[in-house]
Amino acid sequence: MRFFTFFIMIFYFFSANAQRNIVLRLSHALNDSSFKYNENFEIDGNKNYYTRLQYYLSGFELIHDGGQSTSLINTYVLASGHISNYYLGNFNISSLESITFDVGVDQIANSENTTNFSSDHPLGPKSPPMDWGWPSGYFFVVTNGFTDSDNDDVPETPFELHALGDQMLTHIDPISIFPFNSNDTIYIDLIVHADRFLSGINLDSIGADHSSSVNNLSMCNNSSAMNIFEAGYIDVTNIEDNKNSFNYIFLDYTLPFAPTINYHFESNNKINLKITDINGGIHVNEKNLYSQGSYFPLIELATGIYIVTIDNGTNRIFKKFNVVQ
Amino acid sequence: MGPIGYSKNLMLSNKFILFYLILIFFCISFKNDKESYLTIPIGFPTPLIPSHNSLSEDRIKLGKKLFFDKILSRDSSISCASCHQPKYAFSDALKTPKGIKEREVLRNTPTLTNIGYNQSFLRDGVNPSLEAQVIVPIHEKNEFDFHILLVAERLKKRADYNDLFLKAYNSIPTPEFVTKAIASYERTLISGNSRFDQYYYQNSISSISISEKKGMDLFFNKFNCIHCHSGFNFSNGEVVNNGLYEKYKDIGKMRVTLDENDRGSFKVPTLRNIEITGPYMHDGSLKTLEEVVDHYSKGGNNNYNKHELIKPFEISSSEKNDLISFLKCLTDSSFIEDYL
Repeated sequence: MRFFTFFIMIFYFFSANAQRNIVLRLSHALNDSSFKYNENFEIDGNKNYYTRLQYYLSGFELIHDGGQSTSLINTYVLASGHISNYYLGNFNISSLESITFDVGVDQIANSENTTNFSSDHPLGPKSPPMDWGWPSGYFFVVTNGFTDSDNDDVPETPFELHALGDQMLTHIDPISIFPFNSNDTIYIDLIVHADRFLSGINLDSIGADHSSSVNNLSMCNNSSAMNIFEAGYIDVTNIEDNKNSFNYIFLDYTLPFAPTINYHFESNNKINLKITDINGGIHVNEKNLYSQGSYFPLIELATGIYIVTIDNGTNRIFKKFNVVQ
Repeated sequence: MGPIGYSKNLMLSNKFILFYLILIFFCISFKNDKESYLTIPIGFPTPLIPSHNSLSEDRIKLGKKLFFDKILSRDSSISCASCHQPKYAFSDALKTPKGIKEREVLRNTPTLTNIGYNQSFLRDGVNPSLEAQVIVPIHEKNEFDFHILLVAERLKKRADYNDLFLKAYNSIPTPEFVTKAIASYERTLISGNSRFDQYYYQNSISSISISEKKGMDLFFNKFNCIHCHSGFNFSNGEVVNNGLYEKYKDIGKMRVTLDENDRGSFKVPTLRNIEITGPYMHDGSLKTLEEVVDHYSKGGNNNYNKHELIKPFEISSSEKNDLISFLKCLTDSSFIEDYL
């Protein structure tokens, strides 16, 4: 009996204090549908679409196991519209209750030099850049896209909002969450209403605004004021009509000589990424990449047409792209 | 025996104490001599070297090679030294320089004279460190139009660079060490042996002429140029509007801060080597020192942000000659020769 009690206690101890991977799972949404670049959405009665959506999250605090608090020091997330999963770390947590965080990066990190970090760190050098080298500081939220400024329901006017400056840091109040547990991983599921970043901003005459402007401040503040982050999960795999449409490649040509390949695979399997030229010559052949990501080829491709092919073993998608040196 | 023995021991221990004191002195001197790679001119303070990027001969050597290597630009057509040329005290004698593919750069190239003493960087002083500013020309579309990650990849393919990075930072080429190495080299660009320095700091009273002495008096006293162009480096480091225009095409610091009070504000430049770092102003719009003096003597142009001390003043032609003569005696020919 004693042995049995001891065994139960040991079992309880380990099960109650198991180390768990904590993953932030962001379901980006546009007008409550799953996020996609180049897809129209409406905000304030205007049609728009995104060609780029990236933002920083930091200052995480997890409330768990009956009100205990764990602060995630030096944990930064660079979120992109097409990427869902972000690993926050491994913690001694059994059940999660709520999460709070900031949109942007704290003042100390914001005064750092990107080159102090490796390129796979959220604060490291990125392409397209998430920092403005002149004043040295991170873009807290970046939205690029097109807006319909002539009311013909076709977005044709480009806009770029890149929010810069410590004052852009926006706190998100605690969000009660309904975590999804899978083996040793706890998923924190949040829906990100990405269309609301642009709420109340007249995009017609924005042009390229990379600054601490009022519009950029509004965009950042919207993340709190417009309840952009909400507990929940959009499971696109349950949508029967065309599952493959949720797998896509989207090229970012901020650097025409070195485009960035954004890709999204609705699969937990790792993917392979291959870049070939039109003669079939292989320039990049990467294995076991995450199923969603941004791939910046660390290779100087000559001017020409290339094809990027991504497969996860069962499905394959590909896209042509240009390099202009 | 005892007292003598004791005395001998005492003498021995005193010698040891003396030896240790000397040893400690040398150790401290050596430890504090992290700037021993720098030649600090008389009258100059010791520049602050960030603890994360202490100087070493290998780092400076690597930084120098990178500074002069066109590998940092996308088409390998220009280097840092294309615009920051040693013979012009690390400026380029152009109104505004050209980037790759002859692209127009909008601002005049500033001198790198004594750049390691600066607290803020770029013409508008918005950049916080020498390391951080290295990225700017590399990423600027009208300058190198490249990416720091691709720079590192290029360097990794070069055996000579792999060797230099290993020696300097015990690492393969990385973006971090590219910026740190170039910053290390730039910290060595110290100029403090002009004829003014020889006169003022080195007590060589015959180093400057009577006209230059008169000009110095005008500079320091009558015209109060020293208010902004102060200190050993002839700059207070502030970012101000000097009334160059009524309406600025380039809004200066305001481009970053969006603060109207910063419209048309640029950093007060050092006047060291001013004779060879023209044309002048942030856009190189003033060709000669005569034009610069004329600008200030007429009080600049009307601008609501103009610095309060920029007001019209009377200056005779002989005073103007003297003042310009003084400015020219800030040229440090040994600085230029050292880096040629």
